[in-house]
Amino acid sequence: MFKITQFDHTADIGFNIEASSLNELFKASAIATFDTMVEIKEIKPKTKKTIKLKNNKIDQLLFDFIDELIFLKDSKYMLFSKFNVKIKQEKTKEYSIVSEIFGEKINPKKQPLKIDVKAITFHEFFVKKEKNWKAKFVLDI
Amino acid sequence: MCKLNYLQRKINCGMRLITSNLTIKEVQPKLKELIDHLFKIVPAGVGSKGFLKVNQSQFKDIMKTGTKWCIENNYGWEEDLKKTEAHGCITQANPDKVSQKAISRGLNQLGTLGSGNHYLEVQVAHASSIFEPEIAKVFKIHTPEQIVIMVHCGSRGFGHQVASDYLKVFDQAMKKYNITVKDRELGCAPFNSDEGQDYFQAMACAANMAFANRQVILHRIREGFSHVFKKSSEDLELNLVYDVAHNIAKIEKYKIDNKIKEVVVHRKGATRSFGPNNPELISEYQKTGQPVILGGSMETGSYLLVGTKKAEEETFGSTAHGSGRTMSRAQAKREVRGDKLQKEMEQRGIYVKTVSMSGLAEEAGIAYKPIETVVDSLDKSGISKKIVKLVPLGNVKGNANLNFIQLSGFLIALLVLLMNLIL
Repeated sequence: MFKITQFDHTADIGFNIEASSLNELFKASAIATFDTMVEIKEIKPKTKKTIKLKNNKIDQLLFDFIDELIFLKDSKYMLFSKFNVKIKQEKTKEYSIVSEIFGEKINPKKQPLKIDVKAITFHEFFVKKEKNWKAKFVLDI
Repeated sequence: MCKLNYLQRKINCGMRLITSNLTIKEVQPKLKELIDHLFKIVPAGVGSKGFLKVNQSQFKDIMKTGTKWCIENNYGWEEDLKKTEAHGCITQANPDKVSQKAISRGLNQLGTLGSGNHYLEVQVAHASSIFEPEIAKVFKIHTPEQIVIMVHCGSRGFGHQVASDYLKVFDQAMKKYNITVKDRELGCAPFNSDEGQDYFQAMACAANMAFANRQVILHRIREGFSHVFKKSSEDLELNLVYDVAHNIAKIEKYKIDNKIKEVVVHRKGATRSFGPNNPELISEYQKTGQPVILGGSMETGSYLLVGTKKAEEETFGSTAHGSGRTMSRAQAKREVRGDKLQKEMEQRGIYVKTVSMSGLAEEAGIAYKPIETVVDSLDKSGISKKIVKLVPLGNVKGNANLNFIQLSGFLIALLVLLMNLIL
């Protein structure tokens, strides 16, 4: 379960995400990122890619995850719509994520494209656990 | 040398202005054909790929030499080089400081507009909008109702990846050097530290890629005009007036406390505005000062100004960079519908071609400050002087934002510089 709320930002686009688990928080963040670029429901989950990342800090892991998704969009010309996320905390306290992501090649003739996302920023950025997991980030567009 | 090195996003986002010998009378009947063709050959929007395919080794040359690579590979004219800020090359560029991830993102992005507020616009210089005819003539704007072309874009995803990579490096470096900032996005490191120097050299690579990107776009514009008007680009006199960055950090020399000192000027949402007789300028512009290109909204028009000595004395050779947003994207979308705006603009004689209607709505004129107010305040302050107003006729829109609140742009440059001035 998750909730995505877009907030007003003069030049870029910001999101508040609330989710029942870390896995859902990351999944919702990925959905918010791609729904900024395209009507996400129109992207068919035809091709699978796997992302594996590690970081000692959970906020930096989210930053790295979104950064990797944006990189795949530009380097593989793909948009993604389905995200399976598994996050673990190792005994060393390090967080690791394995995410299977599904999408298809960019095709402006078939897909209702919106606006390109160039980067996730540290502006107002946080990940924290209250009753639920919460994240806030601004996408540079 | 300076104390801190702030990280730049949108590295070498900048403007390019090209003149032609066409007038509105010749272009108006073919405007739709022209814009549709330019839209086809200069890709814009999410995940756009350019026509130019380069390999890793060529991309490294582009990172090192910028515009020069384009001229050597027949994507421009020799004179384009001298009409680009820094001759289209920041010499400190070192490709070894750039990640493979950034290179992979940039490989196919040369010659693309991208998204955001980036655009390619066909404009007209109405006779009544030429405020300084003698200076305008030096910049090759000499005929009533003359057609010009303006380009706004930068280093694309490549530059953003360079920034994201070093943002993470700086996030750690700030702890190491006991630096605290109010916003983590303002990552920084001492300029002479390993992290600071590595970033500066990587940033220069992204800046050079941006110069090359705008040069390849100029090449495509020349091809496009030639195709539509059935004349060579030389016959159409598609001359570059200037290419100027408005998001870049550069080492420059200024007189401070009666001594010439070397400083790092960070122009974040600010344009260089060098006045007459500046040794950086080419002979043609020695008497006038440097052309300054200010982008407005797609509905209201843009301006060509000229740099001044006053800017060199008071704002480290900097002025503003555009009209700047006053309304968030979400708010603009609540107030304007993209398809309706497109039709209304067409009725007013402005033909817009975009990949995204929602993106178009975000760029509506009401979301921006009035450009006249901005330009008049710059003119009045004397840090740049207005020469010509340029009115839009046709626009290829990547769709979206002038990122920094523009009027504060040169103030940002000034403030950041003052913070860095510890030599």
